[in-house]
Amino acid sequence: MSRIDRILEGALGLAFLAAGMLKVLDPAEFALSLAKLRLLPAILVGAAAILLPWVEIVSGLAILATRRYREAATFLILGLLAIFTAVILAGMLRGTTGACGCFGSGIAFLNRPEVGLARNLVLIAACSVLVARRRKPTSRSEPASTA
Amino acid sequence: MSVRIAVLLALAVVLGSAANAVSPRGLSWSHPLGQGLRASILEAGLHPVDLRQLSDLMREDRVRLLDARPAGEYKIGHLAGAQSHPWRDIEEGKAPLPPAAGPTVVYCSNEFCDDALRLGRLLVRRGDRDVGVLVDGYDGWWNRKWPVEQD
Repeated sequence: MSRIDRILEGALGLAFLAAGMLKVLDPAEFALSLAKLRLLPAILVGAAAILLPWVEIVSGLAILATRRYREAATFLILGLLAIFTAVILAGMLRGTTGACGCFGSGIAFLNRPEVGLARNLVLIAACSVLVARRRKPTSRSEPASTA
Repeated sequence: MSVRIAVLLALAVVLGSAANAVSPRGLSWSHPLGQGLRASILEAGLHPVDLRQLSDLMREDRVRLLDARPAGEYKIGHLAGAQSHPWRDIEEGKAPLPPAAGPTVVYCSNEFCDDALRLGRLLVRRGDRDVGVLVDGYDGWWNRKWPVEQD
């Protein structure tokens, strides 16, 4: 585990932990943000508003504080980022200019769609680097077997 | 890997459900936005519009106003520039839906009527994208003594 890996994991973990905690502090506002996006059926808004912040918190904690679940958390975060980015893009294409609700209701700048899109692309890049580095074969390769 | 992802998701479901159950800010699973007109507007895919917001939109001439009340009420008084499209006439097939246009705000009498909400639903179902409902309705506008028109 290199220092670069730890920095990337730390950034991803803290970003997701903060995003989840801010939503948990004001769940009604997050539910309103989800409803305004008009991408989910009304019946699913409640479940998404209740559970999604905890998926963020759990994955943030897992990548920060566990060894066993670190890689799974990276993939989970990558999947979430892909979904969030698609949601922001869909909103921008549909002309929805409202806040994304990515960081609860308190920090207006971080919730601007263009800021959210840029941030997500950076975090996706960080996840991709982590995945690629973990998949890279170790530098000390096994000696080739001789016939 | 997929098992570990499932474990993380299951943990999030358990923690989220428990936290929601004990939190004073916990949400209803079925009606997270509450039960009022604003919640109904949002659930219908519309957006609630306040009096001040509408005033700004009208000043910038960026909105089409639809009056969903009966024609008789429209004649007595309506918001400046509003077109009369009584929801009841449309529902009974006596009048067509207003043509699709840009940003639209629909209103009826006040927060206790639902003609605007119903007309807004029809517009959204047809595919109109930017449709708002004036939550306080005509009465809210009138009570502020803001200008109205008569036919």
